[in-house]
Amino acid sequence: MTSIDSLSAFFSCALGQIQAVVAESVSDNQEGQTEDDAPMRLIPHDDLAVTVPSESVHEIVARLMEHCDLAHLTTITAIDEGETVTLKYHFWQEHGLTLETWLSVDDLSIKSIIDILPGAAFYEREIFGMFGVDFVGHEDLRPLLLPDGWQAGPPLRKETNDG
Amino acid sequence: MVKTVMPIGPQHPLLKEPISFQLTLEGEHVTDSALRMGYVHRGIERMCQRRSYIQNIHLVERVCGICSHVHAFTYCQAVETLLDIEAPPRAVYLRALLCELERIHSHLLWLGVLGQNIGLDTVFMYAWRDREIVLDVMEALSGGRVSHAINVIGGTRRDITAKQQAHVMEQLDLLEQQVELAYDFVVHERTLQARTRGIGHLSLEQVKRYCVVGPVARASGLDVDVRRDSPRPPYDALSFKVPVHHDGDVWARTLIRMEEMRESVYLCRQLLADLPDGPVTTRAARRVPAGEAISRSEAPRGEVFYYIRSDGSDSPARVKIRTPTLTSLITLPDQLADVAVADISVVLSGVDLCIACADR
Repeated sequence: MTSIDSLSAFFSCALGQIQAVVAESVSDNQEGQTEDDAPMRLIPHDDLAVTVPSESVHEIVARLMEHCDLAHLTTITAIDEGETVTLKYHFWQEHGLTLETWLSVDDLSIKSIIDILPGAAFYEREIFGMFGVDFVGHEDLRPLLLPDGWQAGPPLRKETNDG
Repeated sequence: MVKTVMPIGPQHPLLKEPISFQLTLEGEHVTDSALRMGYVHRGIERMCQRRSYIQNIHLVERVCGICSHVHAFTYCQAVETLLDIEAPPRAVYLRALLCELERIHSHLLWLGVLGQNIGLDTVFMYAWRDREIVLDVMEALSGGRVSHAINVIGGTRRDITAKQQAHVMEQLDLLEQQVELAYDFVVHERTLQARTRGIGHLSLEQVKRYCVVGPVARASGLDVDVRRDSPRPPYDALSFKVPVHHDGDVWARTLIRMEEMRESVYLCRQLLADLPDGPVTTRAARRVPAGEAISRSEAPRGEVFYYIRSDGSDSPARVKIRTPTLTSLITLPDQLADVAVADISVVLSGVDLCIACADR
């Protein structure tokens, strides 16, 4: 199993960009916030997960692509936590880098990244159908897998399907 | 010129699985296309949350009817990560052996489908005849031709005997001979080249933008392979080449798959020759502790991804599966742009679609 230190070293460019974006967004929005480093942890066997604010995801992905040549998005995982929906953007380049963010169920919207990474289009559509997350800026946001005329609500949400 | 909208599917003779395309034609050429999927969506990710970790092995094996083993294997690998155990070396080698045999089986099947779709039935007959060798070998090893059910959490369900090992080695010689024959035939077959060269073109830039994986990406010059770039045992101890071509058309994808079959035969030989002794299972706790795990492996069509979250209960809290076909489907409108009607089947065959995988 890879250690968090070796992964941090491997993704030093990406982490630098992430911290820069997060620090900017913190200084923009909040006063008195002292914690300006994005929290990191290891998802075994080989992924570094970094928690970032949902407003920063688009900017971070743009910078990872531009400055770190990190452009392979494996997929986006969504998980219903009850009060929130977690989104995980799994990037991969020899090792995995996962950007984690969360949205409140009262406002399930996040800026779409397909303008910079068109490969995310199907993953965003799938999450829109299964979890009802609105990806703002995705011009063709239809459910990917659900039948036409599906009325029962997003099937992977707990409120639709008791977990 | 008059525009005609031509619907293809969801049921159609071209692919054996349901998917629908709306193609806008101007004369003989496609100007616009849209696809609709989800016809074989079975809700496997959700079903996984309702079943135990052990039941799920059999469920995820049914995500795909061609690369069934790689799904069960990648899933078990993720659960083993959660349990913080490792499969014994012998099991790791047996799993990889099945993976490589499955790659040969999948590529031969694909070659036959390509041949049939472009009207070259000879290729279909030969490729599917030789595919029987692989299926028989897999049956001898696992007991099943398509669904092998050989993975358990912590190893494999079956061991192989020295006699079986010798039998597989023997069959590999035959297989290699047939793979070489097929390679020779394909490379020198002018009809095949005439139908596939320049068709379904994807540039390196496009495959990167669409995050494409597997043979389709490698045919456009993207040198990527999970087995080599993110090696887990036994691939860190094996030597193999990752074929890369730069033309980005169906012809390049054909060559990639032909060369990959050759490499897989070499890999099978190495795996059998170096097969470690010892048990094939390690003791795995029934109770999976809370946590998360990610597992990736190289299926015949590219990177397969499993994310599992455990909350400490009997069933996983979330299982996310990303299959490689999803990444190829998204490129189809680009590939279909401006192709002639007669070449639509070549484009669709070239990417090696597995709709059941993509729909889950």
